[in-house]
Amino acid sequence: MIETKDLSRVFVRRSGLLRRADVVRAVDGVNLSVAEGEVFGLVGRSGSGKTTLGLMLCGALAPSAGEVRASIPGRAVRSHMVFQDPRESLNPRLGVGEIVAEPLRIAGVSKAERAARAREALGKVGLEPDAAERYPFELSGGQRQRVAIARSMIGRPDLVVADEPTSMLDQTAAAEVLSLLASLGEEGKTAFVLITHDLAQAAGVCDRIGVMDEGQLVEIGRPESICLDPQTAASRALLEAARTREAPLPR
Amino acid sequence: MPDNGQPAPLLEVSDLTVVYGGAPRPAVEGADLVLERAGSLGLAGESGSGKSTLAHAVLGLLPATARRTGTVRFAGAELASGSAAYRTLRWKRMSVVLQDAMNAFNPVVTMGEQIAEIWTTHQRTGWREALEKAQGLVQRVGLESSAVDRFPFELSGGMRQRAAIAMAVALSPDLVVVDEPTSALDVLSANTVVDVINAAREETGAAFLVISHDISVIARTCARACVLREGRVVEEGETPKLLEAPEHEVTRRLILAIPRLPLAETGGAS
Repeated sequence: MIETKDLSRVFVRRSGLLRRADVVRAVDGVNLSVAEGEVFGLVGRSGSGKTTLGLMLCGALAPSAGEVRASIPGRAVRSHMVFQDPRESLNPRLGVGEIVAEPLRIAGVSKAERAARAREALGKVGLEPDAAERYPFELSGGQRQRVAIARSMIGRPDLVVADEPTSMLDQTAAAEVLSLLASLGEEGKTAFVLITHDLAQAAGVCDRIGVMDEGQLVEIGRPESICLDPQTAASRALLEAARTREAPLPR
Repeated sequence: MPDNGQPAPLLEVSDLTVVYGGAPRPAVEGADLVLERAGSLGLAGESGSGKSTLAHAVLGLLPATARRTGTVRFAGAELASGSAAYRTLRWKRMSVVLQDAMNAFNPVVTMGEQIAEIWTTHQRTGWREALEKAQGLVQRVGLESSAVDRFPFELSGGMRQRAAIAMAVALSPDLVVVDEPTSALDVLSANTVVDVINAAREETGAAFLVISHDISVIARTCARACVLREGRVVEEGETPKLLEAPEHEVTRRLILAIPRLPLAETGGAS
């Protein structure tokens, strides 16, 4: 449903006295397709290009080469993002109801319909309807991230890219937000791209996983195949890291 | 005071309660902790459970609006809140590593210069010798010696955190408090930081108090662990036992929250 073709992004950094140009290939020739309702995990370590790819998938960053397109020719991809830090991504001066309904306001939907759909959206992410009257500072980190997810879904986009949505949350809240993403992916047509450095986290909720390394998508597969039979050094390193972490914990 | 010839534990917290000004209920309530010399104790809990407040109370870093009751004893001597004794203890006998080392470093001073300050400030070491010591220190935690010429923003989060741990143990303190050492890091860097904490503890013989919402970090760094909930210690014990047979629902929740890889036998159940 959403495809990328040879998607690339180059950053040029000038440094030093002579302002010598330093070319960084943040994303390097990525071909990827994500299906309707699919939860796709984009996994890799810090600096592997996940966020740059996610921004391009959402149209928030122009590619240096290649393109992102809908599988249906001539149709634009409608997408939304969920950012890492829900404190920074929510306007502190707006009520939660207004925050969630903002995409609808921009689209010109009437006030009465906005309010009704905001309540519905809040319910879908597991918040009480009266959360609409509250302000972001009154909510916990996990609740704030639910608000960001409700906002991303309200316009029924084709694609939601969630960039490390749990890294500012404690482990308990993180687990809840992840299972929410998985259930939203199951019930609707919206595709989700979950960006994370944690292979075990992606394996728990994603239909497929793509492993990134130095700007390239080096391996794509089902979670079980990547976790049980990794084909690349990057996948093996992520797997080993997750194994090391869970080693002292009981199964 | 010891009455059986045994030395007092390094850190003994009794019936500690902390109330922030204006807060409806205490952030920490009736907490008891014991950390032996060269021991390791983890404080696990969800956001808002009081673990950082407890650590700040131990370090004497509570804000002026906080009211503390109960006692904190360090090597047998009672430390009152805001006590002047803290000034002589900090760095030399107790040190701290904060969550994001970026906030702990001066952004406009090279790593080497700010590490060297430890010795010039606390031991009146000459500048040249202190810079040499800084180089040795960063190498001990697996960084290249050239890291001393870099500014904090030029290092990755994991590298900064390793440098912060190295600095915390530089003067061989008795106690190192580590507050959420890995939560700003990816899984690979987090594992390296866990290894550096363990190596630092073994090399220096310092006792470590490790605070984390991630019980897998405590599982790998601490022999004993406490679980906090709403300011109270709800479970305490040897870490392997606590993980194997958790008694409190919060402990179980903390363990279940760690994402697991799919199992080979069932091909993906988790």
